[in-house]
Amino acid sequence: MNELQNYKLFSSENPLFSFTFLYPGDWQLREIENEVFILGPRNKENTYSLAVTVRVSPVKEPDGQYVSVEERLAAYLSYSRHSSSFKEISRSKGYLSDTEAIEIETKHTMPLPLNTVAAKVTPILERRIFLLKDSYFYELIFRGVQEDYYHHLNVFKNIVRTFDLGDEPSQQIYQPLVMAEPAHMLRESSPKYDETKP
Amino acid sequence: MTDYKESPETKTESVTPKPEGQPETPRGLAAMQGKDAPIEQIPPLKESGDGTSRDVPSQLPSTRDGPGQGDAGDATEKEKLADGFKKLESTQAGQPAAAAIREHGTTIGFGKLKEGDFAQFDPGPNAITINESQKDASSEVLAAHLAHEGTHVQWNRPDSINQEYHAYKAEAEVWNETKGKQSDDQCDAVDEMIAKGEIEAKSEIRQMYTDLPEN
Repeated sequence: MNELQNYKLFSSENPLFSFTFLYPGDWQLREIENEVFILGPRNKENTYSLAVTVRVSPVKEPDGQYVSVEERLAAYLSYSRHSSSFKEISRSKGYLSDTEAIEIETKHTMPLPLNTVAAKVTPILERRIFLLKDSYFYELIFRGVQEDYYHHLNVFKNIVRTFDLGDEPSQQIYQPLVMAEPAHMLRESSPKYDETKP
Repeated sequence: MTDYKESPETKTESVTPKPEGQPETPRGLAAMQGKDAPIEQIPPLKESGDGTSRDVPSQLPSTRDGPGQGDAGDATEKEKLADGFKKLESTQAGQPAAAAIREHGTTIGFGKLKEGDFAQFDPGPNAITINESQKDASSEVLAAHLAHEGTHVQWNRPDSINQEYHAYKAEAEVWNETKGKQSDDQCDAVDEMIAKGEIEAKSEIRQMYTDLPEN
């Protein structure tokens, strides 16, 4: 587990964040309302930083309705599809911390820096995992400009692998929510790995 | 047009501050000059860099003395800025920003901006400067950017993620109210970001503005 040598353990006294995970020690972590925001490196154009976000929100909507993971995913897609050049790259189901989860990888473009006269159209990639545990939705979000995204994908993979909602120790073979290679490089079905192995 | 109905997860938690003593409706130059002023008046446009007064269309207030990075330029450019401001003021979403600009006596002009910003509010000289390369921008685009910068005038405090979110939100809303069939890469991108809701938009803003505090 040398790769995790310089990682830090996230744990919080905030009862909303009753989970733990490992994250790179040189990334900046902030707790913001219902999110744990972990800021990574800046892109070379100095316009956008890589980031991982763990977001927690109640399952019960203000109107009293309960929504499923699928419905939450559909809502996410409904507004994301309006993004410029939006594309759904892949979608898969699996387990994370003993809980069924859905992962989706998307791509869109933004003119960066925003609100500048010489902005450059920049591809942004995002990988998002949705899961529902007890009365909360959890979203693990990894987003960055294309180049940084693939360069640091292993960081997200490590965060996901070490993400623990705090229940019994995980025993299951971990379905790969995070693919080892960029989706466009895969020719066959996603590789599987065992999270208990280094 | 984008529907800004907020999803449950993007319930607005933040509060947009109002400038102290801000009236319900803009008082315009009357407030600054201590006399009645027609509602059609726009904030003072900036004097040229050499301090020489320029001709000003008769319906506009006189060029205000005072520091400023920008230059309202010739009559055509001043009319352009005036049209942008009027467009801003004609929108429901733009009224708070327009009122703040009037209330604070903020000047508006074209000028050079470092790093290619489209527009910038500098609280020191109390000036909004529109990048001089955008003199041909439509009044709707100018209105959208004035909404953004006017929101910074309205907040009147050091920048933050929350403040940037509200500035972008005002920009998107004014753009949606005025754009008609126009498209603009920047305004459309801001609209797309804001349409995702407050939580998602702030998340993206954090990735762009990494040095800003949350509030």
